[in-house]
Amino acid sequence: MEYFTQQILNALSIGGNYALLALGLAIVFSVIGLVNFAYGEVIAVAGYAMFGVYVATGIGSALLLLPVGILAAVGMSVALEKVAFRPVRYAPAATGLLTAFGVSMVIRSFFITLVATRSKAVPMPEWLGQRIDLGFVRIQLIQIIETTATAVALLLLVFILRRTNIGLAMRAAARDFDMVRMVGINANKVIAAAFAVSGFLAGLAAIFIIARRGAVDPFMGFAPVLKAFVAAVLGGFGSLGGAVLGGFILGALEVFFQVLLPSDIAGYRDAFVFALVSIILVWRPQGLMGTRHQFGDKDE
Amino acid sequence: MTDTLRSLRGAAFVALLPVLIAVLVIAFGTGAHERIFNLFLINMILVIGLQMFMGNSSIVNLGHIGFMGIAGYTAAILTIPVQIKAKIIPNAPFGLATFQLGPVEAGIVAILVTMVFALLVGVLIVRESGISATILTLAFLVIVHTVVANWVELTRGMRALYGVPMTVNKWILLAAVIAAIFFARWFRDSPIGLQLRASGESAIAAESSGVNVRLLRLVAWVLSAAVVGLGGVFYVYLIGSVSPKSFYFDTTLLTLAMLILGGMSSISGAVAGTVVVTAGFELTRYFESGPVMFGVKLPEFLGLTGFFLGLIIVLSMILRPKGITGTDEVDERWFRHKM
Amino acid sequence: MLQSDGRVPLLELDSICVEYGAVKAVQSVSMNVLKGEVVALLGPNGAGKTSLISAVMGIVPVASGNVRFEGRDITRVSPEEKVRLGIGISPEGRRIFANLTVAENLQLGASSQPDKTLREELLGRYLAMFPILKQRYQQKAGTLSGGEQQQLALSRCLMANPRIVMLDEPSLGLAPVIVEKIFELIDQLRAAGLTILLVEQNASEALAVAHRAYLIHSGRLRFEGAASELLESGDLMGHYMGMERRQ
Repeated sequence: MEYFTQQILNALSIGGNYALLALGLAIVFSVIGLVNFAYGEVIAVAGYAMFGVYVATGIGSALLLLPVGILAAVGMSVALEKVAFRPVRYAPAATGLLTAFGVSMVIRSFFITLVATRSKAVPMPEWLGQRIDLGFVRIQLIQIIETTATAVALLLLVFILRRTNIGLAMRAAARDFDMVRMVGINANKVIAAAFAVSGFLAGLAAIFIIARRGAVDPFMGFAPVLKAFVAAVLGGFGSLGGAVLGGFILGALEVFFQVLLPSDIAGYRDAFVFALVSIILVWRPQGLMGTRHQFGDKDE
Repeated sequence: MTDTLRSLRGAAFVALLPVLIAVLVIAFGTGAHERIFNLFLINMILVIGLQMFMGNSSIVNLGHIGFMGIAGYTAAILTIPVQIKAKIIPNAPFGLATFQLGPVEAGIVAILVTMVFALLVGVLIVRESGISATILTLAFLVIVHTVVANWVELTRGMRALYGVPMTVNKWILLAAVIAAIFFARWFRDSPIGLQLRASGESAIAAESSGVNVRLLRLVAWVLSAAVVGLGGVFYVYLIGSVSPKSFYFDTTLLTLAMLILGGMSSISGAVAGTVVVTAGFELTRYFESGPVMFGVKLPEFLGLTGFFLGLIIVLSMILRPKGITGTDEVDERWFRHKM
Repeated sequence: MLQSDGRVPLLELDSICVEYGAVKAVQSVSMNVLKGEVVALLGPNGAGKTSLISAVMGIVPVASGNVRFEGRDITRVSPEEKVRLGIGISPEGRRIFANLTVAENLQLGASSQPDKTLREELLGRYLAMFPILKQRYQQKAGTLSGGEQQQLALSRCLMANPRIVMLDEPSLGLAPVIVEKIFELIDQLRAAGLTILLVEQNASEALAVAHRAYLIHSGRLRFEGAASELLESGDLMGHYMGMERRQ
């Protein structure tokens, strides 16, 4: 029973992580149709920023480091848009995708050259690993924090999208970007907002990635973003709800296969997960919550 | 001049470049240059293979190196001498440890195996378009990599399979490159290739004119896989050993960068891109040969080279999204001017 | 009648050319709209009307020529800035935000309006003028009928209190009964003194509300004059408005 609950919690926290990142990708895509493959580097920047501040000040407090990480991620994300993606803003999707690939390589190389390929160990503070006894189950404090943080972030996002002007503009832009300009809203502002939100999510996810990995290195964002991308497409790329759903499902699948597979084929976990995702996509190419656009469909 | 002759002339035109480079390398190059040249030729085969699919459909393909892996491992396992296999993969399934094949037979088997896989996977992939298709190709790459890295009895897992007889040299590779150029060009100008390119512009138009886009794409996919597979076979024959890392994201991004920079619509693009990226890459590596030694195993891209590669992609996309050569084959434009 | 008292036109298009690659969608079109006027821009399908409007708006680049608003050159100004200057548009196909409610659509329309009191006043005014929108206020805009969406598109653009409104094909795809209603509303707006550039295929309805008209065909201006003049020259109309066979 405890094992079962433990695994559910695992799925929730891993899934939550993927959900945050998938959402970050989906928001940018829904507004300007760009697949932001440089997202992994936004995560890495957050990681290195937090690590740098930690080393410089010796303060390991999450209260200081989390805002640092988030700020770094937001800054990086917005800067990326301005410098690298604006020139290809109106280019076809494939161009943008490949530009993002290229940008991610450039930034990663910066880290490699300037910092090191070797990862820097980041010991998780003792108190985070603490186990809380809830009676029927004992869970790690960090999992509670992670799940709560994810939930709060998602609620915050829903609030921004539904109750603020810029959120409204973003939702409209996802539908018809040019029309948003034709009601007098500044295109750059809307896009920058989308990237800022995306950066916020990356910064938040970064701290949990580091906690789990125990280290920062230039490649730390690559695998999570890959998974996040798969999760977002699974949910229906561009659909925000779909991204969250896809993230949790992917997390659940990973934990499921991890648990289910006998130890000698446990290494094949990724293959199983990707195979299952492929089957789902073949069955429903638009993703679980995406809408199928047939040619000639009225845009309603 | 008939269309076929025009294609032949075009292919010959494009093939001049690698031949020219070969001449230079033979005349002035050292052993080190020859090594670089051989890898360069293999990369060119890979990129040409990639072009055969990406140039004829509008899908971003991230999985082609999976075929390189399948073919490479198949050829390696088949050709490694039995004595060595007994040591490194004694428990290989299908009795593979008990016999060995010559390089030619093994190569043919490897490519056939690759084509079978391509057919099975391709049937699923060509039904999709856009992002979904790309994810499926990505899934393919990851699955191949995971299986190869974990099936220890067959592949020795993450450790290198060594002992592959090194049976290729620059002449064989050059001949293969020329053959690949002609083959890809023939395909591009064939009725299938033409229809594919036309339907790439408008899926509705294609479907309504009765063209079975999926079937054509499948053909392109399988043929593309075969060529990439050939590159994989030659790779293991050249290096003499193989490990999963050679067939994952680094090679994927490298070949993708080469094709994008050169121009994915044409074989000229594939060739040009390979030349420019290799040249730039080697130049950067020369400057990068720095003193910093890491105690850990180096990733294939180290700092400057990755930076350079990424920069190429970004600048290409911003300044010249259609690549150096644009949409047409080089000879098509050249001879058009002459008329 | 054309005004000849030297007034600066509110909107002036000077030799506008619009090109899509090698295709010349609009060739050297010049026209103007004076304050308080309703000017109709007529032409068959594919004549270049929407390309022209898109170029004026800045969504599509102007290959050559100038756009002037109140005498000031705004050719290269961004679309959002043009809206802030006072140019409103109800585009072809209405382009309401289907995933948002009527209320949210209107709220977006008022984006360029900083004055809160004015916003509320405008909202009240247009909800009164388009009561169906008040009825469907919290509904998703995508669930509205064609005619209702057109009213929404119209009021969305009016929420910005524009000085000139460009209406692109408001009757497109609507049943004749609805079209009549829409043009009644346009007439009301005209009576209230709004300056309108009306782009239409439906010549008869458009000419009924317009002061002046321009006729465009295959990217070129073919006729300009008083609306009544154009109504009378029946064969000119038939010639250009869909019964021709050449080209």
